[in-house]
Amino acid sequence: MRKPNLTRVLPQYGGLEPYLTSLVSPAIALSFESESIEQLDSNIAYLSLHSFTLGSTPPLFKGLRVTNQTATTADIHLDVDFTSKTFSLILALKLSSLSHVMLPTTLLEVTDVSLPLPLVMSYETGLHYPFLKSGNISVEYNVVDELTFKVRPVDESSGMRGIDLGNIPGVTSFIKENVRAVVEDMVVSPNYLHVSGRRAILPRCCDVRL
Amino acid sequence: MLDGSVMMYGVSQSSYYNATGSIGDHRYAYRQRPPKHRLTHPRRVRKGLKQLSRAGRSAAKDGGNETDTIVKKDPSSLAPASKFLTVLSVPTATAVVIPQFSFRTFLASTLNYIVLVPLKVLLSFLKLLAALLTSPPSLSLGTHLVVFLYLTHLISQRATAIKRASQLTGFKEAISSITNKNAVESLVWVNGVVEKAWRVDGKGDGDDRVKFDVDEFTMRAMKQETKVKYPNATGLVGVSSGGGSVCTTTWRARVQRYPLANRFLSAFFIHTVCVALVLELLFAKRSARSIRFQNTAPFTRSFVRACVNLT
Repeated sequence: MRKPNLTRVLPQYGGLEPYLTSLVSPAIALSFESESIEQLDSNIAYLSLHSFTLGSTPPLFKGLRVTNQTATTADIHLDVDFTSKTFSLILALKLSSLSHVMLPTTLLEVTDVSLPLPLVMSYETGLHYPFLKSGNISVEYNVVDELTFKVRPVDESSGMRGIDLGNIPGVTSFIKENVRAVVEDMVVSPNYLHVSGRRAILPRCCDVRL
Repeated sequence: MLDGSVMMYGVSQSSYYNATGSIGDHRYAYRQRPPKHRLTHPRRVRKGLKQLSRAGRSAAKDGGNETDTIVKKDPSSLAPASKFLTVLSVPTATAVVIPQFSFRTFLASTLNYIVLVPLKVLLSFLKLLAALLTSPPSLSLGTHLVVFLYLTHLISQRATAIKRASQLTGFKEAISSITNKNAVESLVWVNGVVEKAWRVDGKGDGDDRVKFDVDEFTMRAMKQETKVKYPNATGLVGVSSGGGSVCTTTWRARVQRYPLANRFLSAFFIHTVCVALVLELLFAKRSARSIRFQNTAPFTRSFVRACVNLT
């Protein structure tokens, strides 16, 4: 498998979206380097990440509920709905069979993503910087099943431009399995994946001594 | 023969006159004269035409002397008949008829082409249209089209009604929940903050830069809480992203209009401030004038102090 063709173009804007994109992109690129991708289909020579962005539409916080509240700890349940038509995950696909040897590399775009994210944020606060003894963000692992998206070819000259390739049997399940493979490392229990909020907010907070 | 040389009111009258046999006996002819409408009977017309042509052929054989003969024999025999007959011409079999220009004919033909022909075309078109509209396939197609248009209109109206009803329901639920729960109010605020902070243009400099405005209500509460200096006022904030760029900066109490030029720094700032203020608002009791922070959130109280007073 070739190395992922991850083109890094620094955007001319700042904010949460480029920050989160820069956090997620290495994990996605790393997932395409795994050997399991080659075993999914023998006709695929390589499949790499071309570009990735979360899009210009922010997630919508629809609900909030607090449980297990004490003086320093609480569990916050957030219903987040991430529905974005500008989400873009562009993959470079090359087929390996002899019948497809003359075909150029095809760019496929995963877009029109809709994903409900029932987040559970649990934290414990402290009196000193960075004021966060522990902070964990959990999300149901099975939420991947509710993920919907469309797959379209990017090439302008392609005759299949505008057609949702996700309707082809096997394509959607293939991508969902890949997403599962990405988040598999973060799963701490059979049904939940876990992210350290303390490290997400302050990646080097533990190295700083005041 | 007289039949070939005399033309009367019409061919049919001449043929009748020949059929009676005696030309000179005008009384007999006058008595046997049929009603006028019978003279134009087609059968009589055809018969008269045949006799005329026969008379013409015989006249051609005689060389046209018959006229003189008749006049010499009994010139007065035609006098009574001329009372009701009009002699228009005396043609011979060899005569050539040259068409002459007639203003009436010209006017009639012009009127025909200007008025009658378009009327005939229009009438034909109307007949064709009527035939198309009254044919069973056309009626079936029209019925289907009308039903299709009606159903489309009905569906669009129904979709609009459902959309309006859902919008109204959502708006009512949002209003009712906002008045009851502070958490939902915080969600509204967080959604607004995240929408502003999701993508921020970092091209501009100075006053052109996009400012992140904390509303005055929250800002007043934050200032009220930070009157007492935080012990660890000097801070070093590090954030790394991608290749590990570390931003070290000092912040003054300029939260209200903080310039969002540095994308990493702004992302970190907004991210942490959002979390802090959401937590704070969860435990804050809101009065008419200000937000009063509670002792149940030491983390956020300390964090707000640090953000505002970092020097």
